[in-house]
This record gives sequence, C-alpha cells and structure tokens, in this order.
Amino acid sequence: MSEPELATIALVGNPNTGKTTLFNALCGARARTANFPGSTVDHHLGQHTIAGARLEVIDLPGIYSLALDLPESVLCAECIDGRLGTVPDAVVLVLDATNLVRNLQFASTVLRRGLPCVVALTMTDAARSAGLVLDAASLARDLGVPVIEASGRTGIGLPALATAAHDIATRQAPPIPAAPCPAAEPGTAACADWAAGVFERAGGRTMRAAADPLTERLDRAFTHPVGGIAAFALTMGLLFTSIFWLASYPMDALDALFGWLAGLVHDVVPAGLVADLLADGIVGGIGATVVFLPQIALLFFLLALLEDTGYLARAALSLDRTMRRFGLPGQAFLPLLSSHACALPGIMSTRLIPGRRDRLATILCAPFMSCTARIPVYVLLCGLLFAGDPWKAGLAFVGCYASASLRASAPRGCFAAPSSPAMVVRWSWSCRPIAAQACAPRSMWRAIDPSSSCATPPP
Amino acid sequence: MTTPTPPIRIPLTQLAPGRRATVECSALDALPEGDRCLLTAMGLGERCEVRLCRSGHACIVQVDTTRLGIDEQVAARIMVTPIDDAS
Repeated sequence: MSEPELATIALVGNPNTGKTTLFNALCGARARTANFPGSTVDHHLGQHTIAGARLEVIDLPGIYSLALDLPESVLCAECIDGRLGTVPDAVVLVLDATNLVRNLQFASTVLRRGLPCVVALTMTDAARSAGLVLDAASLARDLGVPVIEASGRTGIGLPALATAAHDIATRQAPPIPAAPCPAAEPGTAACADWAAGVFERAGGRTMRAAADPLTERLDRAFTHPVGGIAAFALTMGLLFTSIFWLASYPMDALDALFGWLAGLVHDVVPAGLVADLLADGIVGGIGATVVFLPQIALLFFLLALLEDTGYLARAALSLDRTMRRFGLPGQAFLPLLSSHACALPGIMSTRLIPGRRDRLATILCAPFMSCTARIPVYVLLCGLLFAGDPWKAGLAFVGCYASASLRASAPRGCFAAPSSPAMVVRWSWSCRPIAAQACAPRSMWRAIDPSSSCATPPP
Repeated sequence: MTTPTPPIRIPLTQLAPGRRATVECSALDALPEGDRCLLTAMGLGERCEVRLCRSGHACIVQVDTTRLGIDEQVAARIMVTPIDDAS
C-alpha cells in the first residue's frame, strides 16, 4: 500500500495570535524543531493526519510584517516565496479576532502573493466576551479564502480547519472569487480603509479599549526610570534565586538516583575496568549532565512566564535609556544577562533585537560576559594569586565581573554611528496574561528539546 | 458664515495621558524607513486611533488592545490630531 500523499501547510501570523497553540493542538507531541538551511531562526515541524491523508505543518515564527529587516520576517517571506526549497502547498493565516484590523493589513500582504490560503480566526471567544461577533462568511467573501473560527486551546474548529487546509493544499476545494486586496502597504490610509471596510462588513465595530487601571498602574511601576530598573533587578534576583532554590530538590533527587544506579552497577558487575567504565564513566557521566536539567527547565519556564505576561517588554523599555549609554538597545539586556550563563543562547536570543546594527553590537558584546564556564577559572586564578588573603581574592573576583561590564561598553567606541535613537518600538504586549501562559510549558520543553541544535530562550 | 477651524496637529508627546488621538496621514514620514515599517506593522499607521497611556522618556500608547512602547524622540515626530472624548 502506497504512502498517503503529504501536503505541506505553513502557519503564518502575528505574534500572540494563538498560532503555536493551534500548531500544538494539530500536531501534539510529534512536533520537532528545525532550521531551514542557512537560517538560525528555528521553526517547528509536525504532522497531522486527517482521513488517511497526512499534512506536514510548519509553524513559522510570529511576525508583524513580511517586509521588516528581522530574521523572522525574512525567514517567513523566503518560506512563503519558496526561496528555501520548501514551497508550502497552502498557507494558514492565523488572524486574531480581537486585533482584526491590524491583522487584516498583514493578511493582505500574504494574500497578494497568490498562494492558496485558509484563514484561521482565533481569539473569537475573547472577542465575543467584548461584544464582538464576527461573520466568518463575510470575511471569506471579502478575502476570497475560507475562514474558519478555530481555537487551539478548546479544540473548536480544528477538524474543519485541517480539512479546509488539506483541501486547499491538494487543490480539492473550489476557489472562492476573491475581492482584490489593496496594493497599498500596511499602515497606509488605503490599506487601513480596506481593512476597516472588511472588518465592518463582517459585523465588527471599532472598540475603544477601555483604560485598565491595574495595567496602567503596573505600566507606571515597571517602566519608571528608577523604579523600573529596581523592579527588574528584584525580579531577576528572585528568578535566579528560585532557580537555585527550587531546582535543588529535583537535582538532589537525580543525584541520589544516579548515585544509587552507580552503586548498583558496582554491586552487580565484578570490580574492574568494566565496572568503573559503566558506573563512573557512563552512569556518572550521564548523571553529571542530567542533574542540571531541572535548572535549565525552570529557567526557561520562568523566562517564558515573564515573556508571556508581557513583563520582559516593559523591562526592556525601562532599561532602554541605560543601555543606550553603552550604545546598545534595551532589548540587549536579557541576551547579555543570559550570556552570564552561556554566550551561545545569549547570542541566539539577539535575533529579537530589531535593527542589524543593534543586533551585531549585542552579539559582539555577549562573548565578553563572564559565563559560568569562566567562574572556576576565576576562582582558581584568584585563589592562586591571593592565597591566604580572602579579601583581595574576593575583590579580584568582583573585578573580573566588573571588567566584563566595562567591556560591554565597547560598542559605543567601536561603532562610529550611534545607536539610532529612533529605533524605538519595542515589543507590543497584549493584556491577556492567563491565556498566553497556557503554552509556556510546551515552549519551555521545546527549548530544551534534545533534537534542537542548541537550547534557546523562548522568544 | 464662519470658516471651519483646521484640526489641531500636535506631536504625540504633547498629548495628555489618557487622551485619544488620530494619527495623521503622512504623520510618520519624518521617521526613518525602518522605524516607520516597524510602527505600521505593529498597528500604528495612518488614521489609526491611539490612546496615550504614559508620556515621558518612554511613551506608552494603546492601539486597539495592543500597547506599544515608543521612545520619546520618535513619539515627538509622530503628529496626531486629538479626539474630543465627548464626541
């Protein structure tokens, strides 16, 4: 019996539209992390089986535009255009019902490329609770593609979405006569008018988001020039303390488990080279690595939590002014902080920094940070040079760290052109902390997925 | 017969916190290409309605349900027309 036909669909959409939740619901635990050749931005690949047919699902990173000079945007544009070797048979455009006008403007740029498309309308439950009921049929008429209300969290609409995507990808569905998308670029009045028209015909009405006193208060506190930095220092202090404190329990348990296993090997295998190899080499070696897993898992989980609640965006904003003095953007702080653990994930996380110059400056700074691998060297050198004088040894140790911070000021001197003060917009953040957290554990798990070439912090 | 008063255009930074405004057509022309693209991609485009949540070294504006942090120097180059909230 021959293998069923494999159609490829790519999930494309703005960040925080529920795209990855949809992907997880479609592909479950069979997903894997991958890179297109020549790209360091990873995406997720998974498979969904529908009525005997297989769908290869590509979860592309969330982007605001296909035209931005950001690695994610470039990757998505190249994937959709087939410049990466894999041309998706269809694109599933994931649009957030609560931000539909902005999402429609993005959708117009994808639809104009002429690929077979299906729209997955997400967050409809949140829209309904705000009194916004959208007519999917009207949207489908205006966009010229099927529009399916779907939720990865509740599973509503998933079978219909998978069927529609499969039919479109395998050219089984008759095309819907499409109304032309505007040739104007998103953000222009023409494109905004088109999106507003589509939105209104679908029953949408412009919602004036009411001021949320709690969010406003939190914003004021977390982006305060002094208080914001103090809050960030406190948050990071608590984060790292909790990593060592909370992770110590599973670490001790793992340590005991591998110790017991090594003892068992010694008891069972006759003493000699083989027993030493098995107990101290293999079991001991694996144990020495696995014992750090709880710390890494906890770190990624907590960072994902901070990211999904929108705190990191606020922290970057409050740190921006300080970091600019060193010729770096506010977003550089977290990659540099991560580089104190290891420069590699720090460098990889710089892909979130908009602006090639700012990214490059941060990448060049990251390896100068005192990573954990250097600490034993510092300890050894300080101990040797100032043996019997703990104060001097301690000061020398602090000096090693301080010199790393001084080296971080290098970009200001190295890069003649100052960091563009106009490079401003940080991340947008949405005010739905609880819903967004639902996918945090999975993103944490992906980050430490051994199939990934290198552990990366969650975006 | 009185001549209609032209709408007042002010920089975003001069908007009072909590007030709403409409981003003017060509209001972003003074910005570098990269910043303009990033702003429009995030929803801050021509004729969109914004609400200033916080002013200062980092302005926070709300566009629909999304909040954006914008540097003061950039916000000062975005021209908006205040909306009378009573209307």
